Amino acid sequence: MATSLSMLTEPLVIRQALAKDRDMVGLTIDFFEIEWYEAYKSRMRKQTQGGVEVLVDKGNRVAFEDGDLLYLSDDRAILLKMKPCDCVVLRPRSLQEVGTICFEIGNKHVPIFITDDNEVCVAYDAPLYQLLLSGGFELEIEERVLHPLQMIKAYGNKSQK
Amino acid sequence: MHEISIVRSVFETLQEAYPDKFKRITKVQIEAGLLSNIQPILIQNAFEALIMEEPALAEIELEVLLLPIIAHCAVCDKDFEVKRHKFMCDCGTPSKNIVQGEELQISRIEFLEN
Repeated sequence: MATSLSMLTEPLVIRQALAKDRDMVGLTIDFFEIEWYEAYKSRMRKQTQGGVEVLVDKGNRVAFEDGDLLYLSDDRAILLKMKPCDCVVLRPRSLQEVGTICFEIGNKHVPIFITDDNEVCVAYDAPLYQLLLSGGFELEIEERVLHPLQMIKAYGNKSQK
Repeated sequence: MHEISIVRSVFETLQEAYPDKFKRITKVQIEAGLLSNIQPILIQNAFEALIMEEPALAEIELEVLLLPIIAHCAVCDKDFEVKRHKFMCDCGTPSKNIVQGEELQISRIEFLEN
């Protein structure tokens, strides 16, 4: 008989994301939802949508990605789901504008995401929005999922392909 | 920019407030309003950096909750959520009377049970 995970008294401990090399057809799919800024957390404890208590204890700062497989058994899989959030989205028209935008945002040490469509995305916050607006940039506020793989880093950027 | 000193000050405050129970803290929750100029990811990064200085903190989970901006409409005499930077009530009245969104506070602490 399959064990009901929600009946466990101890949390399900997740050390890392698993390789998605198994067909998940027929399995019960449960979701562990996090905010985008929690992807790098080495330790967090919360419930899945299905009520399973999960303790993430990575011991490193490797980021989770949307859709990561966290747990797999004969009858159940737990997938990571990153919540979308309001973002300031800019669509630069030239490489120079990309540089100017990233300089302005980077001065606030805020993480910048570049999408596959070459949009510049940052998580919405009111002071940053006002700063960019007063700088004369064309921008929108849109709900997006911020993927860690699209985050620009001062070093260590890798191809996602 | 100032997140390292904020996180350091959070844990210093907890150490002062709970000298006997500090080592049993398992989770600290911080509430940050959208107008507080706090980026949760920078708080998380600062916390991870602090763990490198003080490895004992690695057993603690730091959670940042973002609070939406709430303003008060003088015409309707009710509070409304400011969404996407529109400081305007459903009735069409603009308001800069902010009720929530500027705070930065320790909102919850969890301890290991005996």
